Amino acid sequence: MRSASKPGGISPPRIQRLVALAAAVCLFLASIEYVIPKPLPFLRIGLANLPLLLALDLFPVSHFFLLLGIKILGQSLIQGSLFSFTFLLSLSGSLASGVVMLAARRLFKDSASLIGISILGAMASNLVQLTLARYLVFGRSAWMIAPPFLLVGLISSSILGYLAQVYKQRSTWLPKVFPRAG
Amino acid sequence: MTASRVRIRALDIAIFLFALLIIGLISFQTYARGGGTPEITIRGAAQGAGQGAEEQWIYPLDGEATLRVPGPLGETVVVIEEGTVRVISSPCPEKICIKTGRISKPGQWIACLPNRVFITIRGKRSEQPDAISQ
Repeated sequence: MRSASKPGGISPPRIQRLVALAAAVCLFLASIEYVIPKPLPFLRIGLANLPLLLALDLFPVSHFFLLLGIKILGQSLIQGSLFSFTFLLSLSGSLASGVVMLAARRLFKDSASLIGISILGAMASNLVQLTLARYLVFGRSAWMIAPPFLLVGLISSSILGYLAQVYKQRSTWLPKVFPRAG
Repeated sequence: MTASRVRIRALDIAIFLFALLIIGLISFQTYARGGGTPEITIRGAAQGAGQGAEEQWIYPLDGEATLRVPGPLGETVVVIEEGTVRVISSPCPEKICIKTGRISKPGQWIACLPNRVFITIRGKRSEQPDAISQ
């Protein structure tokens, strides 16, 4: 079920190493994002989602979610939010965006680039987080920050999707590792 | 594969516009609601439902109405008139809700805890200060 149907027939140990590599890149990007000053705590760039966007096509579903899980845990470790409500928001937001991106990628195939997929993922994540914030923490006023929050998410996810798409098309490394995935 | 430019697909643009539409709708919902006449929100126990269930009614502050709000003890009678809300009768023992008198500004509330009725005014806060000390 795992590698038999997957591109290139990559062996399980190999794909595990690639998941580890992708996760390492996620955490590296998360640290970079953490260092960049932000005017408001909720305005995020989402750099750490770059490897996830690429992983959509490269990893089997199980490994995609493994990568997503490592990214969620690692990112909150870096931000020091592992045992706060922020973690709950980030967990549910990331899961929602993972599911939506995966579904959209399978549904749209090549008729949408990673830009569209990235936007959908960001919207899913942000809407879920806002809804949770409204019911768990801040009450009705949580929606007051919704428009700028969503707008920033839309712009940053478009740029991120563009970067992912550029990387996917131009990387000389990817076709070597995933011979038939390009 | 090499040196390919990123092609933005029609679907990408559609997704972008869709996201923009959602953001527009949410902005409208959040920011446009603040204006206009303030609303009165009345919460009381839901009839026929189980313990703890509650129901909510919303009325404009500029209307006129006499409402019988059901609660576990009986009916709390709420009167809306001339831009104010007050409770004129309640089955509760202490009648704190009646003693609260009239409320008329966003943020003010009347509560009848024994009969589980809660009345608040919601809307754009008036530009006047809450209080001035002289």
